[in-house]
Amino acid sequence: MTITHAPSTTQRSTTTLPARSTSLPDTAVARPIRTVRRTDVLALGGAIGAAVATTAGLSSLIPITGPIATAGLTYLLFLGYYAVLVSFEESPLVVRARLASAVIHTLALVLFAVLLLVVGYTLTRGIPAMVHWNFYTQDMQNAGPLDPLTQGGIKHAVIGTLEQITIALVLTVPVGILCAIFLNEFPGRFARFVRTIVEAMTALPSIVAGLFIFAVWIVGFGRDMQPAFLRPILGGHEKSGFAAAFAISVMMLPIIIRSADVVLRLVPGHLKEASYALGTSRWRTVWHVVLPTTRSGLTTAVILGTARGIGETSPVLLTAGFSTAFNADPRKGPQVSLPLLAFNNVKSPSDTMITRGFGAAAFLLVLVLALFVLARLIGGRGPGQLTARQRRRVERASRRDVRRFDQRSIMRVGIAAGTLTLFAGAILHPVQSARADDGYVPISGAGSTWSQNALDQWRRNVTQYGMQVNYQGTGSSDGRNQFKNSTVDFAVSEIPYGLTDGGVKDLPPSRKYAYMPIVAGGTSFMYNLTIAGKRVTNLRLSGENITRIFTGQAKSWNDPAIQKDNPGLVLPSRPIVPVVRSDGSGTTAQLTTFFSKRYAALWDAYCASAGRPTPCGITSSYPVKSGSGFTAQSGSLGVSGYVSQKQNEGTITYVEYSYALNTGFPVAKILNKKGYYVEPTAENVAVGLLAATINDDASSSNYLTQNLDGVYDNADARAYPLSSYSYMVVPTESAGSFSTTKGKTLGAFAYYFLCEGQQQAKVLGYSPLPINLVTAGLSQVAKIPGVDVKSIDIASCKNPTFSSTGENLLAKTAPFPPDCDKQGATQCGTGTGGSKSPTKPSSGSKSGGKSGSGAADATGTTPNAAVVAPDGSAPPPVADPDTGQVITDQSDGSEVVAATPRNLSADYSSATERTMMAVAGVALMLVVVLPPLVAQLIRRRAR
Amino acid sequence: MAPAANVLSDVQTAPEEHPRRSLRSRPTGADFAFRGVTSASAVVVLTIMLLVGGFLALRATTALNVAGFSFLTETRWEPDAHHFGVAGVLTGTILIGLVAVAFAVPLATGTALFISEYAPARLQRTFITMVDLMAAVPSVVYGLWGFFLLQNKIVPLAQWLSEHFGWLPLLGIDADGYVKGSPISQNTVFTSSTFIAGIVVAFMVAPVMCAVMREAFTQAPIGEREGAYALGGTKWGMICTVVIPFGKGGMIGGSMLGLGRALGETIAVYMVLSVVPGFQPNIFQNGGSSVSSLIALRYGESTAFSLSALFAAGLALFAMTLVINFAASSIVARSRSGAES
Repeated sequence: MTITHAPSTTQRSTTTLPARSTSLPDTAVARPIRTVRRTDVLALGGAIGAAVATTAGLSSLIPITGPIATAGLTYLLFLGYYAVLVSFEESPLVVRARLASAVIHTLALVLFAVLLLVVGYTLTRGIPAMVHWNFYTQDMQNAGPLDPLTQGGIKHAVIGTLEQITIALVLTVPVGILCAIFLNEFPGRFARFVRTIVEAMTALPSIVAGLFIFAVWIVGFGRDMQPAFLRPILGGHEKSGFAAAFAISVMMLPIIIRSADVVLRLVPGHLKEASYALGTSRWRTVWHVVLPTTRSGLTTAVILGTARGIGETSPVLLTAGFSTAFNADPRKGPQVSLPLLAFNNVKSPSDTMITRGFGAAAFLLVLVLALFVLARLIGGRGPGQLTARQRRRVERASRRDVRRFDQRSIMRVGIAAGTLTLFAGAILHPVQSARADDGYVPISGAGSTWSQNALDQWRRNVTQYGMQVNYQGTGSSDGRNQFKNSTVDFAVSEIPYGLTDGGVKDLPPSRKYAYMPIVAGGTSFMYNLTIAGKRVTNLRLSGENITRIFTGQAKSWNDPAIQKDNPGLVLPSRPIVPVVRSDGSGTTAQLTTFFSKRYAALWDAYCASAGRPTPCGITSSYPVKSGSGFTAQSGSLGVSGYVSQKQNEGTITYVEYSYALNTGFPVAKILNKKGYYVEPTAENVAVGLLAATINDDASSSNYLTQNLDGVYDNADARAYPLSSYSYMVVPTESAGSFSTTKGKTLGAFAYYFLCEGQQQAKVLGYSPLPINLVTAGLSQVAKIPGVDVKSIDIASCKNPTFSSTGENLLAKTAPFPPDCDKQGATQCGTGTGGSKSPTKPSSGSKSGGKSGSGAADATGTTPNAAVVAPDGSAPPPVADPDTGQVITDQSDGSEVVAATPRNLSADYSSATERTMMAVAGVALMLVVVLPPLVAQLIRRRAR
Repeated sequence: MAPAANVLSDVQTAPEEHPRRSLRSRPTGADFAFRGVTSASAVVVLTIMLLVGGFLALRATTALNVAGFSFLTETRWEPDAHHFGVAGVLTGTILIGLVAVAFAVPLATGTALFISEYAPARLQRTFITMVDLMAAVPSVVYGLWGFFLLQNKIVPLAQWLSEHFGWLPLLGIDADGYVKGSPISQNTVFTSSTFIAGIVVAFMVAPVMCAVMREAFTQAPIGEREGAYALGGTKWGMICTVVIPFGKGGMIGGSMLGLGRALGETIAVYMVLSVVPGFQPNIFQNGGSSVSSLIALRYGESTAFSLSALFAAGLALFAMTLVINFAASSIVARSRSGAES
């Protein structure tokens, strides 16, 4: 290769060497193997250009909907063009290689693009929280849903994540890797059995890992069957960082073993055989050959396990407990981690909490990135991949003695053990948990997700008095079960004990308890409906129609009964899509209480058709029939998020009022006894609840539970009929872990939220409890053991609904609904919920033009455009119940012009049109492909 | 070769007074300890896993006793009414797993090949870390992202696919009031479907698959790679004949690991999917179910009996993955890289 023969232009047989040219590179330089020729670049660029051009051309001919369809079509065209262009120059083999290369690059590109999108989404949502320094230096004790982002942080969750994952790694990595080595080094029937079990365990639903640890470690499942020596170990532990780490370990272990197993199998047999041939023992072969060869692979295995363990919420949901305070001691007390914090916060209706949740998720990613880079630095390099310095070091080391070698391995073990001990000592070093002054101790509760936002704010407010209250919204029934198991000090629930849900009775706990109302709210109905492209914001519904909608009786928006409720609207013939909760929830329980009390026949018929036993009664998980047009979503965020998506038109859901306010969507006004359609504002709900009665019969099994019949039939014009409240279940005797000191804290907390805390109920999206419920609540507070009875006094109660003299302010101040909201031929145009823009029942110049064109577009479809002239009675200006502003633009009732918008994508049904399109497509392709083809032919002929 | 053969034959014809040497190695004390420690860890792992399995089985017995054999055939899920079975939810789980695998395996294989074969050496580490990072994104983030951002983009595609290939099994729509091609009735039919949930899960499991596959691909012997090139093979030819056959065990192992996570994925699925327990085989249609999301959604509001039913569903999932893995591991054992150990 060093000598290049000059072309033999002369007849002489001597060989001439060309003069060495300084300007040209030495031919001795290794030729680059990866050559990129101009034609390659041209083919690639040309194919991309042609594909984009063809798609652009085609998109005007055939309806291509959505970016994915466009991208897919472009890509397929690109592959075709690229293959054609490359085939001009290369053999079919190379064409195939080029295509494969293109496809592989694209696949990688797609995955990385998705990664960027996901990470970008997290970051953009989380950045507003992450730019504040306090986000990293504070915990959440002093931050509630109403506090700005400059308060509160995730310090407690960061330390929780780090400790839990460290404990889990310390537990799983040695065991996991040793087990994987066993599977590979000692194959046999036993190894095969272990492998099969471990592999099946990788699909273990992560929540089962949490349930397992919860049942065995915390509750002590099956204690009577356990051998005596296990009894002190299992059961009776509180929720802690350790419990969470155990749950994570159970989930991580199979993943680590399985991925380590895969890479250990790849160790070339000849390497091991060479080692054995040198007379090396088995463990030395593993230590010096197998493990170094698979170092990078084992790192990957550990990283995969860590990735799963660090980002998963469900195993820690039940085991870590929930706390807003910094707790560095994994042995004691609840310890929250980043994914749990994120999961908890994004469910909140408060924007700042959601942002904090995303901030926590984004910070988790940063943390994980740092950990993984570190892990790769330590263990990522493959066998034989050494830097120059390392190679020199290896050379030096290889000259050393075998004895030295042995010493080093002993030393290494010693150092590792020392580090571990130090580390364990450091993390296990008891940290005094923050003891509050005034004799308050931390208390914890669980239950209703519905009440979580209020409890979040209240527990933040009482930190100023030195109280630490932890609350986790895991669901009402879970709260009741946990209270029954004494794993929490109080529970919050919408459903009392002793009810028969789905034919099974929920037995009350053996410890003595009492119910206490804590926060009220109306079940609001958020919807997404447009008429002639304009959002409807003033829908009105009667209780019966609500029931008919949510039992599948009313299927279309222009159902006559619904139309009768809305004389000012021309409802479209769009199908109604009821959106219900897929998880068990208090909101469902409140709605179904209403159904079962008022429209039992409709409700039971629906339940029976969905396979539930009748009478259906109150249920917290909504029965849904498959394929019935219902959609089930999890959580309030899920249902409100689903309804608020633009294309999900015709949907209606039941959700807390605050979610409708936050997403900017209207809620339906509901007909009350007096004949008014009212909105679930805080005042209307509180007025409604003035008629709530409490079962005072101490001998009844439903002692102290709510009776809402009076609320549904409340004759006040302002009363919102679907109003209800949630209970706190409090212990009335000190037993187990519940002491009188805890009782003192709980009592003081309860007094706070029944009185002063209710002032914030409205801002938080709830309604304040009226006087009748507060009085009943305070009498229950007095029963809590250890409570400071003297301080419980209704006269000093700062509840916003009544004055210190016991005068009912609410009945005086709450605004009355306007006349246009009365049942009849009129309908207010004012907006509701989060969408205050009025639905003008008029054909003003703006909307008239729009709806006119809409009607013109709709030719060929059912002519839905109609003109309705309601009576032009102009009610006096009224104040908006929420803002207090005078509403003026509601009286211009002249005529309604509305049309149902129809998406009229071009209709290509006829055969001739299809043929024409195909011809056009072929022609277009020829236009793109033909020129290079012709050029190629000309070039070949010229040769 | 000839001298070597001579030596061998010399050995064979060696004097016979010496007894045959035993080829069995005598393990040293350290080897005994090594074997003991590794077996002990295997036993520990097995114990934990069996405890979890036993715990599931024990909690499931109440429900299984009531349901009997109908547990395998019943599609409804109303445990309190004693109408419950896994025919519906397990089908849903499998469909989500299949959609996820259908998308994730090509993505993961492509990315793994890209990283191990095509990417510039300098950037390899960066790409590896990026893929690992993707595996660690909290599932709640995937759920939110899939629900709020991805769904809108997928719906038109799902609609197009269903309208044109609806005659195939699993791809049709069987919902009340749905009329194919009617512009007003189809806006929500294609949302929150098994298909969309499966795609979200695919993006969650692809990094896991990719990591395992990449490890297998990079271990392909360099001599054979060079041999393929020396015979004039293109890069793709080399990949087809050397890398993929060698990494087949890793590919299957990685895919099964991913499938396992896809089947067990909880939070992302229930945030995207409209969980309606029941038999709903149409992947483009709103509504579906999966065992793990059912457990997560219902455990908080369950009575003791319905909790037992949920555990029974978990046990069924466990049994199913046991069978799938058994099948897969027998394939892995036959592949080249698997057989060499």
